[in-house]
Amino acid sequence: MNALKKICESPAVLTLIHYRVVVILVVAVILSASLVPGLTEFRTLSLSLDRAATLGLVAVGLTVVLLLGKLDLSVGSILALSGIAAIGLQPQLGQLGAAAFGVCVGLLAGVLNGVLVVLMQINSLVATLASMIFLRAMCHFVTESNPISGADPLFGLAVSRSLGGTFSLRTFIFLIAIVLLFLWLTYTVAGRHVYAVGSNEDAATASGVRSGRYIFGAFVFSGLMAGTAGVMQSLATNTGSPVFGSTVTLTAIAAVVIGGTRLEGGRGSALGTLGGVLVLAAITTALEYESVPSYYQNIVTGSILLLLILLDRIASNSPRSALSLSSLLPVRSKEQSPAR
Amino acid sequence: MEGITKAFPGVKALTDVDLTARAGEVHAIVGENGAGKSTLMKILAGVHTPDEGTITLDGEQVRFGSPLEAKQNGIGMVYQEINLVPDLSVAENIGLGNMPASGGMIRRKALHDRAREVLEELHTRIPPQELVGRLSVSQQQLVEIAKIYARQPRIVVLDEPTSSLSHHEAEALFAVVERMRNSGIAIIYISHRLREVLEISDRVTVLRDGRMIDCRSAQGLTPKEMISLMVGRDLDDVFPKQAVEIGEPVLEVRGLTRLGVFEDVSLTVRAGEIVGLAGLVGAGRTEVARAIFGLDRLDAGQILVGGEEIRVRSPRSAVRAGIAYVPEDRKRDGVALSLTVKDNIALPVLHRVSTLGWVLRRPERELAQQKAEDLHISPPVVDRPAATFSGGNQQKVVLAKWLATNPKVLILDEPTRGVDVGAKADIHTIIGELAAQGVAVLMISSELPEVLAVSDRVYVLHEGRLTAELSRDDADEESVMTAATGEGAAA
Repeated sequence: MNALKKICESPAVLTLIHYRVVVILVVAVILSASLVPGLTEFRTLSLSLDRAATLGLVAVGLTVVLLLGKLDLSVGSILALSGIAAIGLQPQLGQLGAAAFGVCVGLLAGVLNGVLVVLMQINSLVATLASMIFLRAMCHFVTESNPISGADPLFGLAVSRSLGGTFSLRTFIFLIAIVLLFLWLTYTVAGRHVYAVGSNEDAATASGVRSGRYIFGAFVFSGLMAGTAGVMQSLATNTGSPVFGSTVTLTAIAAVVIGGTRLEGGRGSALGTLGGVLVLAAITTALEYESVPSYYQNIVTGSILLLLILLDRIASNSPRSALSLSSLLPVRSKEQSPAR
Repeated sequence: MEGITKAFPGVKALTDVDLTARAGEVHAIVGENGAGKSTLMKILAGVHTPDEGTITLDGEQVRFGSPLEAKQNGIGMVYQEINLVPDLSVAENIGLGNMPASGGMIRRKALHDRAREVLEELHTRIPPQELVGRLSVSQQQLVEIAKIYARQPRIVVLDEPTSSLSHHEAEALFAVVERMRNSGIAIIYISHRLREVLEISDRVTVLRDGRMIDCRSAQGLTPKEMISLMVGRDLDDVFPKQAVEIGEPVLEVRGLTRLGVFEDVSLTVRAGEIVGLAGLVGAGRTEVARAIFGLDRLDAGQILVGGEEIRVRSPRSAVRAGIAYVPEDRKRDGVALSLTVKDNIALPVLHRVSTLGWVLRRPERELAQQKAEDLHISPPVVDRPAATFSGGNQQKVVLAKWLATNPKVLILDEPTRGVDVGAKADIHTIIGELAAQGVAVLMISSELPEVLAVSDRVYVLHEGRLTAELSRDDADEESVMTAATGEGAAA
């Protein structure tokens, strides 16, 4: 027991735990590279990134919501509805117009969530659960539960085709979004306020931060990102389907949490989310190549999630009791969460 | 407890500490924050296991692996924070975890009878069927004690039980403690309020830096002696008071009313002046402060800063007008625990250390570092999360945050609650210095000696109305208490 304790508390191990996302990512990439021949080739890499971009865009939006200690369950429904709008309205609005409208649908759905959570003071889980159900029903309503397709399948190719032999458009959008989010969260006053509101909303408000506005804005942003992801997904497949995105919400939340953002808010980062998305992308690519059924992927995802949460407890800076890996070994003491 | 030693990564929390609690005695433990009181109690409660040392209970050596084991062995803990379920009744809370039931169904009558019995034994008048959430803080505290008492413990530990109680309510608590002692329970009593310790305890153990300094009979001990044992040096004056020239009115409040909470409150605070706002808990002191700061809505009244009327709709507008508020509930409204000290201090002034929305890291850090040093935040490491600091230092972080805004008006709500003697003196010194710089200070405190020692003038609230305004010379415990209990003629 003592030897184990010593190992757990050694600086090397603690450093590894600190960079756990990177470690897991490296392991995942090495594993999948050994399973999938040619994964390290740029073309394959670019393709698997393109597939992860949809998840990634949704995760970018969710990162801000989760940092604020809120939850948005409606992103999957928003994704589907935006996609349907972008395809279904092509005859009326033209291809670009419909795409833009699809993005606006996401934005408006985000505004709806913002109104429910901030103005009507409904718990974000409940509010977005309601809008998730409602928006999903709208998807089925406007499509009469059938997938719809656009007239011109070539238009959407631009989204997923690699640009000049590099990444696809949506990969670029995802990566740019990550970088911008990183800069915004890390270096701007507004970003700092997000962390403060997430860590302690009351204290932030009492310090003159307009907490409500940040939370409202986060839901709008999350809707916008989900809408963008949905539009691109639909354009890439030339299909708007009422069942699109039915699993993306929880996977995206998993990616964000794997990336080190905690559900209670106040801690996390954009780069962590990038890591989380890439881990899931690497696993998906590898396991699909091996024709492993998708539920096995979910087992892996679930296990990684749990492992990282446990590691997070060790790395978390909560005082005293939770400081070391050894604190996980004996019976854990009743801990009082700082945010009540 | 004998030779207890406990180390955490990087810190040795306790070194060879002995403690003996006898049945039917009140044994007080005093010491500065970080002296090891809480750690020692957590070991007794089975939350932590000691690295060395033994615990002997009624002559039998015991080792508690978990809080449950300690509980089963008759150790009852009453923590500073209230651990009750607000949506359950008093009786249900008392019975929680130990419900009288047959076949999975709760026997309501037995539950209520037992609760009533326990509450009566402790001579409290709390109806067992009332929801805990509807009780006052002090009543909840008594329910908490009743809950422990119902399990017939051998040892009861009370950790800062009076920190949120007014003088009056504390007296009621002491009566309950007295009764428990007389029924043969050993009581361990932790408090920063030294007079209270002397009033209630039989013996006093002093801890300093994780070591046991002394264990004495409370008889004949004075607060001054205790303080010098706790800090290891003599403090000449617990409340140093500087003479400051008092200037023009800075904060003027006229006819402030919030229906059902307080009514027609008018007060003035001048530059360089420290004004105390006294009253019993529930008199509306905090509510007045929150309303001035824009945290609560006002129904009527004017607020003037520097002679100009300001409209306070939110804390944001109050901050802009130069008002700072150090809240009563540090953990709720004061610090963001998962953020670093630097981020906490810089929060209200980020606009000052940024251009076009971008935070300039060097000025930000320098500002935070400077404030941390000014206020003797220890350790002065601004990159650590606020959660890793002691209560006194967290309070200094909140102060630092507001000092960074260069306020004209500083409202302090219980600034030294739950803070150790050293940090308390630091905080008083800082308040004094601020006043000397011309800041208008309005201070709320439940500790009457503190109010009297620090303030130039004292307003007294009773049930939402001002009942007295006393100059420093006229204010003494008696005159303030008279006004606070509504006994005197209205001022």
